[in-house]
Formats: sequence, structure tokens, C-alpha cells
Amino acid sequence: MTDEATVPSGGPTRAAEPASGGESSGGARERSAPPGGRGRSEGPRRSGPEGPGRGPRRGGGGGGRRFFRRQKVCKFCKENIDHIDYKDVKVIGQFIGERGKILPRRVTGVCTGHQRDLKVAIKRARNIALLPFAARA
Amino acid sequence: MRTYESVFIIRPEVAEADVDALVEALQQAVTGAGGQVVKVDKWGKRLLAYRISSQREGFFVLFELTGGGEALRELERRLKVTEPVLKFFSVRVDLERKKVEKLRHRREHRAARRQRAGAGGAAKATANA
Repeated sequence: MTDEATVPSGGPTRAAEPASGGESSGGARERSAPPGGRGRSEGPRRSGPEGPGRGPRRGGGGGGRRFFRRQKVCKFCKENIDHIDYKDVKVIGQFIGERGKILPRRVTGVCTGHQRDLKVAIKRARNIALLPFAARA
Repeated sequence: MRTYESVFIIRPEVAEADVDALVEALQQAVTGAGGQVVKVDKWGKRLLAYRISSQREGFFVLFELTGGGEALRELERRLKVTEPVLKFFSVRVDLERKKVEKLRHRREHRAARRQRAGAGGAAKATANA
């Protein structure tokens, strides 16, 4: 009886092991995500030595990363916005970081011309206190 | 003839009626200097992104005016000497608008041509059928 009881109980624990392993790898993915999210470190990191090391650990994570990095189409080109208005804080506010800095193109995916217009608009908005020069993080 | 946009921030503790009076006076100043106020837009009180003379909010007013540089200069001079005005900011907008208009026009033109080409192809297809 006791032998029989231990065998089935061993089954579930063995079955649970791969499941817990999956969770831990999921945790690793989550832990590795924030440094990638920090805009500036993102570019060099990808081509850096950590790139190949990351691949096998993730397994299917490569697809996940691609999913994370997509949407690299200029918002203004897509929506046919010719003029970026400095008064339109809702739009402009999307392109500043939490510190109030202008986000680089490599993070937001805005095209060169529109980034220039955006820069002008943000600077104008700062001038009349619609956007901060420097925000507390 | 130029078009300018001028935004200014009035102290929040100024009463609504006084704001109206101030706006009225500024409008007259512009007209007196040979300009014309095309649009007055009161955004109302909003939070400032940073403190201006230890104020955290302000009453925003937008002027759109046409005329020469003298009209704007007069308006800015008035704004500078008016006590309850915290800050002001002016931009010339006519050139930018012209550019936008041009872009829009070009896009419409292209869309129309594409449509015409598409319609022509469709007509040919039906003729063949």
C-alpha cells in the first residue's frame, strides 16, 4: 500500500519539475527584459557578446524579443501628420521619457524628418510650460 | 502679411472677468498697431510643467494674429509690462502652414492620380470582358 502510494506521488512531483523549470525560465526572461527596455543600452547589447548567450536560454524567446521590438514605423508617416503641433501635448508627450528628455529615434521609430519636427515642437512646448525641461524621475 | 501665434500664461488667482478685460485690452493693442486678432482661444487653467515665479498653474490664452512685425512687437511689449502675465511665447505660423498645405495638396494629387489609374485599369478590364 505504501509502495503504491509513493509511486503515484513520485509521478506528480516528477511531472511538476519540468513545469517549475518552465516557470524559472520565464522568470529569467522577465529579469532580462528590463535592461533591454532601457533605451540606450539596448542597441549595443544586441550586437554585444551577450546576444548569442541569450538565444539558447530563451528558446522560443527569440520570437518574443522580435515581438517586443516591432512597431518600428514612424507614427507621423503612418497617420499622415504633416505638422507636429507644439500645443498638442497628448501626441508630443509620447515621445519624451519619464525624465522629460526627448526619446531617440532608435527607441521610438520616428523617421528622420519627423524627429526634427518633433524636436522643434517639444522645445516650443517646453518654453510655455506644457512640457517639462527636466522632470523628477 | 504674417500670421503669428502667441500663447501667454496669466496668474491663476486672477478672476475670470479680469482675464476677459485683459484679453480685450491686448486685442485692442494689436489692432492699434495695425494688426488683427483672428482667433482668441482660452484654454483655461492648467497645470504648468514647471514652476514659474512659484506658480504651479496658470490660465492659458492663445492669440492668433495677422499683420506686420509691429503688431507682434506691440503685443509682446504689452505682455512684458503686464503684471499678471507669467510668461508668453510667440511663433510665426504662416510659413509652416504653407508647407503643410503644399504637402497635403501633393498627397491628394497623388491619391487622385492613383485612383484614376486604378479606374482606367478597371475600365480596360471590363472592355476586354
